[in-house]
Amino acid sequence: MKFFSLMFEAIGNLMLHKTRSLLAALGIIFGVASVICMLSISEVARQDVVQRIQRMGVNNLILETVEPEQARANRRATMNRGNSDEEIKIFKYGITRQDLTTLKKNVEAIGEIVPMSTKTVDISSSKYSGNSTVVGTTPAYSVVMDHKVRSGRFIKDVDQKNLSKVCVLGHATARELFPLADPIDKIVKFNGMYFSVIGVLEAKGKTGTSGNVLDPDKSVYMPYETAFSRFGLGDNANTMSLISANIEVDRAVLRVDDTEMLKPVSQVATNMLDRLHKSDDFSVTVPHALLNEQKKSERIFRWVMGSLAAISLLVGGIGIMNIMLANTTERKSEIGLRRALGAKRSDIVSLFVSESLLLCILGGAIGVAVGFGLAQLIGSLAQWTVVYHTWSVPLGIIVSAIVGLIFGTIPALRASQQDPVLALRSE
Amino acid sequence: MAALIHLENACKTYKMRGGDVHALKNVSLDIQPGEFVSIVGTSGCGKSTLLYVLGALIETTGGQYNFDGQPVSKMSDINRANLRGQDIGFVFQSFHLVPQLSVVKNVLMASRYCQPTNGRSMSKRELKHRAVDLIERVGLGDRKRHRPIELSNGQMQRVAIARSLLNKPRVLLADEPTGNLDIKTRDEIFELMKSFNEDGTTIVMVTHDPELADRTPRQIRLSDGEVVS
Repeated sequence: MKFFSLMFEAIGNLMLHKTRSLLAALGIIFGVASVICMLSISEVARQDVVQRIQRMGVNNLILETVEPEQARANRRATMNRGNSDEEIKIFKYGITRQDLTTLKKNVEAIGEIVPMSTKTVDISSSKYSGNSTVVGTTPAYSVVMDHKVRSGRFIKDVDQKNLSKVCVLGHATARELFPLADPIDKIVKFNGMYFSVIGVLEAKGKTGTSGNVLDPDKSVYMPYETAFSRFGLGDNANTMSLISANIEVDRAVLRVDDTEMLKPVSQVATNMLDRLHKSDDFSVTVPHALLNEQKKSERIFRWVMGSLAAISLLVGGIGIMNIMLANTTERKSEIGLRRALGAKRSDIVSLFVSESLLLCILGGAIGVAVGFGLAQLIGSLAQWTVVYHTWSVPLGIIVSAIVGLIFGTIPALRASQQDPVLALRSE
Repeated sequence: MAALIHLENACKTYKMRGGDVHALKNVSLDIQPGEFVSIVGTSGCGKSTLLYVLGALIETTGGQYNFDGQPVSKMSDINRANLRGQDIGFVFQSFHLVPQLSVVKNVLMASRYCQPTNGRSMSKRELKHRAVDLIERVGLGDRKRHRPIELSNGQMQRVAIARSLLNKPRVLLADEPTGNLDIKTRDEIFELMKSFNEDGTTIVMVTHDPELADRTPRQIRLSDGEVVS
């Protein structure tokens, strides 16, 4: 009961000086708001990274072709020499189908290998056009990458065998080319060739790490052999470009059913490919290991965030303490009067601590709301789906209350120690 | 009859950088219940110090002070605060009203830490009723909701008197209550205090207005920290 009457009195006292109270709370408001906002935004980034890694498949190993330094230097030199009709330079490097066959044959733990060759093309339907990434792959892609078919079907072995001119559209590409119609059995055109749409995939979201991001939704999937023969991927390169990289497999996904074996398999695969390749033209990524790395980064990030939050709240708390000190000085004669009316030292402490506590709780609550609002605003401007932690509401308020208690106690103790007679004479 | 206030060889010495200042030197006095006493003397003679000693706001550095038989000199800070809230009312020269609060709320402030006891504590409603009664008694019945800034000095002092009496104190200590007032208002305030004294409240008033002191039944004259008459 006494607590509530104290709080009501504190509300009354704070309301008497609205502007000063608001100014005192600003430090806490912005401290809490910035922490809440940063937490929400960092959670978006964290989830995005984690999801991208997870979409790569935590049971998978990713082999990727990397342009070796020598090929890069040669390409630069060719470009600098300028155009010439006769001068068509082809650089051959990267992972080959033979590499994949060797790996499959020698490493028992590898369950499935899905090669992928990619090329960016302009693509059109009868009415709409856009650009997309053509991915030549095998029927196992859908299973290994857990990319489900929404309608129609995925590539089959028979399509591979017959070099069928069929394709499966990613979710975004299907919407772009056929916004109103069902794409199944429709014809799409790219690089002057016509392909029949046999299926549409479900939305999946981007995959890969920041250095090599793929967007499966903006892709078109076709049999690896078809892509290989039709788009000049591999040995039968048929390109009008003066400079062409001759790459058989851009990326390959190796399925390892036992996650414990991921690390040894990646080691073995790296060693084998090192022996098979003269130059450093491939990379091996273990999404599972990336996830673990991500967790370590998260821990560091949390410490950084915690430190920032502590500094923000320390600054806010010092602001509160300053204002409360000014408050006690300004209300010196009131303190004297209260002592004359029978207030004990503890009553004076309670009076000022309750004000600072209330101020910080209100500041914390406003800060939480401002933080959410700010995160929402930034999210809508950057087109992110902002993630809110429900626990950040009580946490923000409780931490603010603790700040109020700690930083309000010092001025309150000072006020209570004042000589009542001197305080009465201070007017 | 036993004295309400009994002071025996009370001393108060302030430790200052330039040397000790003896504000009260072996002051002995008795004040009976229902008395109206004025304390007079020149500036700096120790009048206010004596009043604040009687009000348990200042501790003596020597001697003995009993209030209604209780040794105030030996009381803890908490007990002294309770004594102030329960048995002592203060009226100050500069009124000490809270500018943001209405007249009623200023008067009710006295009940914030201690309440009048008639064998039981008063409800909020009863307290408000008593506050309004006192405000009417001091002649401000029509200014209850006004703030101090909207009142004259005399009216503010009336509010301060009403506040000091809310808890039905045994003694009212007034420190230059008419020091900021014109002669007409001074007389009004004095008459008001006199009427409360007639109702049984003991009043001790510090003043350096000899004319006002002459109107009180008893005068205590201080000079250089000592009672001279």
